[in-house]
Amino acid sequence: MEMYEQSFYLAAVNHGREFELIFKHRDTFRVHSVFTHAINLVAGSEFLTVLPLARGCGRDAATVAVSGDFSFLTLGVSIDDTVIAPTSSSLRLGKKAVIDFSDSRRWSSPLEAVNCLHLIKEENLAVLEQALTSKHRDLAFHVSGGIIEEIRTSLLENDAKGLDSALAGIIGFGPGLTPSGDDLVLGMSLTRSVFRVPGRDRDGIWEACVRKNLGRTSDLSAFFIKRALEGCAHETVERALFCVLTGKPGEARDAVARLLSVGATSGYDIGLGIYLALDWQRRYGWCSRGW
Amino acid sequence: MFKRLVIKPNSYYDSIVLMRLARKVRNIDDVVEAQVGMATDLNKDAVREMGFSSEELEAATPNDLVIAVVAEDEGALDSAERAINEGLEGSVKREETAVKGEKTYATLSEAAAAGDAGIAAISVPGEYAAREAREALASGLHVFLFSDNVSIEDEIRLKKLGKENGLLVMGPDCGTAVIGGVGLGFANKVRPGRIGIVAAAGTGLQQVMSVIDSLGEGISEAIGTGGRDLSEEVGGITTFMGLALLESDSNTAVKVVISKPPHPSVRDNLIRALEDGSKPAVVCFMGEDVKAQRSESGKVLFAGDLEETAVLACRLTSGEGKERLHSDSELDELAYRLARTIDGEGFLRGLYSGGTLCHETLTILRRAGIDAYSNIAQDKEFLLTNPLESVAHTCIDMGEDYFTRGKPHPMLEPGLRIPRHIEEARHEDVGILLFDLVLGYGSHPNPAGVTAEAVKEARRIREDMGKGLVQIAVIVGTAGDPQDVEKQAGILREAGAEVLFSNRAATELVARIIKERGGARPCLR
Repeated sequence: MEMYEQSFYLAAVNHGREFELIFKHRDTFRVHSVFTHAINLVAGSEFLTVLPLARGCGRDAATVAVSGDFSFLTLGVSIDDTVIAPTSSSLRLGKKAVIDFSDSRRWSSPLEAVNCLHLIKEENLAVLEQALTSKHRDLAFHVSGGIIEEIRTSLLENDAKGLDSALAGIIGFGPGLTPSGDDLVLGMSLTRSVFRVPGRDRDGIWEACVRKNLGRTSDLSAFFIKRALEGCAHETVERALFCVLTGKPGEARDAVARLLSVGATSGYDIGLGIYLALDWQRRYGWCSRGW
Repeated sequence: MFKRLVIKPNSYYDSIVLMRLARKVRNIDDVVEAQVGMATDLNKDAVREMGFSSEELEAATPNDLVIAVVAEDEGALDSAERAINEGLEGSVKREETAVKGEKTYATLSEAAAAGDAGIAAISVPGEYAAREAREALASGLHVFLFSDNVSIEDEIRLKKLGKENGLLVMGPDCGTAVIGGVGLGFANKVRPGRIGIVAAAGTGLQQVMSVIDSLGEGISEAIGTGGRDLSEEVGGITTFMGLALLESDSNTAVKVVISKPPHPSVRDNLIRALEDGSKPAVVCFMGEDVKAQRSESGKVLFAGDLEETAVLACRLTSGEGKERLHSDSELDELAYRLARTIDGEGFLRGLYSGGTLCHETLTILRRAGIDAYSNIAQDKEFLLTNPLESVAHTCIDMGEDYFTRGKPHPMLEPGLRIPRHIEEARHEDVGILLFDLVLGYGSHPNPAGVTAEAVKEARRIREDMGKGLVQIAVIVGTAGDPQDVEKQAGILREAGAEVLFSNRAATELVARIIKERGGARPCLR
């Protein structure tokens, strides 16, 4: 035995496919931001996130084994610290923290199991609606309900200009690193992507207008929305959507409750985005149509 | 990127100095990575991982110093090399540490000369440990040798040298001791008392001390010996010296010896020495089948497990009817309930940070007629060919070298065990997950908090699978430990684990569950 000198040595439990990039591009990533329960890393316009195990994983994330009350702020990791891969299975963040990936398992998305969607489970959609309406808070969208209607109308009329204008009023709207408007767009984009076949379905006005407006928000939030358009999001979001689409009502209830508990407003706003997209799919076939 | 590799042949420096230097160099602007260390295989691997390869590096030996720096420009490399040379020449400022009253010294002999210390605690790579231990003995200090990878020849030389000078050599690979009320290595906060222990088993000692504390008794001294002390080659030098100290110690009323089965010749001498002493004794030779409960004279009691060792020692001390921490009826009731929550094969997977505890579990399971595979199995038939892959009933010592090369021990960082915990939960044929948490000084500040996340994740996985899983935690610790044993237990219970405070009880619970479900199953390979 030897007393180990490393200040913080964390074990990665799961990692998304994109996280493996960091071992290929070695020294290109830097610390973008550090929060109590997340560290974001950046290289150009690509982001990766380190999260506690309890927070779940994602294609661009890795989870580490820490206690629920552990704060990443205690790691001594600062913005702009270099991220180095001293070995092919470990990362050093700043001067003190090492993350060991040697036993980490590649995370797989629950949405990979979703295919051949024809019907939306009404009882699960009702569970989501009930959860959203029972969560009382001063929702930013109470005052921007008009914008949602504007989006709906623009989509129904295949009106790219109107949609662009509506999204310009919603992307980047609200407080936080991922503003409320962005979270709503993320939820809608992810849900729409599940009904579409990559390579077969061409981008519609939704994809075009969303991409066009990403410059209105933070780089990190824009990255999350871009990923949602590609069909990827954080595990909690994907699991909620998966359970609403394919699960039993009890499973949907649990997964939605977990989603709605995320952040101050994020979970609710994403949930609302999922609900709107599913409702419009049910009523107009929006997700599976070109626009 | 710019790189520089310097090898300084036959240059030995204290590892603390080198680690400080490496840290100092990494803090230099534009230095991306730096390694400063002796050219051991492990350190050379780390340097190769940085992208260095040269004949000079390959030829370097553990007696050579290797310096490898990667930087964004040549200037940073120059600054780094300058800082290293200054540091090695002794210009590194000796700083007061953050802890009031502590001082740092450049060498062991300097530290010995500066104060009235009686013991040197040594934790440097094994290649250099013997040299430091000799220096400590020459300075008149007892030695607590935490380092492993010390050759048996060096161990014998050191212990003989210590004996000639009346100095204990506790170790090598000594994890725990409590001397004069001060814990060394991994040690629990136990109340002072009249039971003196000599142990060749680190977590075994911690288990016995913790149970003694729970039963209301206390410890006079707890002397670690290192795992090879009772081998034929070493001949129990430290054990006999320790027992002599306990014999003459007025605070000690009962002596305890804990070890794996000693070499027969050493065993006989040991029992004779205990019988010749004036104080009653309890002996636990883990893995040995207890044929008689007492020695011929009746002065020495033989215990079959660690918990029983503590119970017998407490009974000898206070004469009161001290009982085991978990009764048979409690275990029966629990087993009955838990067995019904498991489907399928229901195999056991034990994930241990404490090697002695893992060994005890294998012994108790064997006595119960349940064979289990392990990376530390004595019987080759049950030795895992790949420690990363469990087979049927399996218990893993995750503190063993295979898992800790270049990484912290799982008692320091329990998170390292979590991926395996979750992986085992994914296997449908697994029904029981058994794991230990060893509290005390030196251990992780909140191992239950880290492990609870794995317990919850394992539950979620099994709920998705529609399969039950029993998760059993053994907590070795006391109310006085910095982590607080009850608080840790509460965290794990809330996460969904069953919590017991004795490894013997946890293992017997496992054995009962397996038998409830149809008896001891044959192992599959």
